[in-house]
Amino acid sequence: MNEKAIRRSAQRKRCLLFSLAGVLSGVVNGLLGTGGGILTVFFLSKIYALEKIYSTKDVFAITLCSSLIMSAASLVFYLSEGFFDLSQGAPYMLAAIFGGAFGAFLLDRLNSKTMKVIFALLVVWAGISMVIKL
Amino acid sequence: MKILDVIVSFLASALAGTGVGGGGLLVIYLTLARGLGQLAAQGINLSFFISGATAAVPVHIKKRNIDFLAVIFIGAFGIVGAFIGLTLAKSISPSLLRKFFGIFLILCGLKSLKNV
Repeated sequence: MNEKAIRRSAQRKRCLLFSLAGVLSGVVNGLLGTGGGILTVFFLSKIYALEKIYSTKDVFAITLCSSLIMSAASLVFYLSEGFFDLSQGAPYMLAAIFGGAFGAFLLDRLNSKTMKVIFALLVVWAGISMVIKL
Repeated sequence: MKILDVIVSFLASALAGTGVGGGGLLVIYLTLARGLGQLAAQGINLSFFISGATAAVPVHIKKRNIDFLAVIFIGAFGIVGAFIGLTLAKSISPSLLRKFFGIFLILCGLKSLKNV
């Protein structure tokens, strides 16, 4: 097999793993309402484990971008089912625009180790709140 | 809109904007402090996350190394997964599943903390 074919085969395998990660993260998100992003971070960390191209911060950023697509689809479903009115969410959305941009700049300032600790604590917190259903 | 609403939204979205996720903080705040129903709170949390993430994404695209192939595949298949999850949620009670997943997350989080 020539180099091009090997590369293509690796790319195909990778796309398959991304698809699997997407479906499983989506199922968890749809079923439990949260936790999908955490799963995506875990999957991406494993998929990229052998390469040094993507840093921990890149993994968080990639997760955020794909979560945005997933969440937009969920939002359409929630609105079509009439679970809530968008006007109820408007004030929170406005505050989130500033918070979100601030968070993105924050990712640049924090070091990877701090990010990993924050993420691990958040995962434990999410787990506890799921078990005792806060 | 109370000042506390603004502060909670800002902090939760800053956390979400870094990509580590908001941990459902706003859902907990809305149900416990504001007395909203679970589904309404989740819906507001979704719209809130989307606007925060939309503000954060251009910054990430400019500054970070984004694997667009991963974004497209995970995002698109995530939509398929979300609809499977939502359909499942209608037929089975997710409460037991939530507890199992919660325990799984606690173990994963503790393992990650140990490895840092």
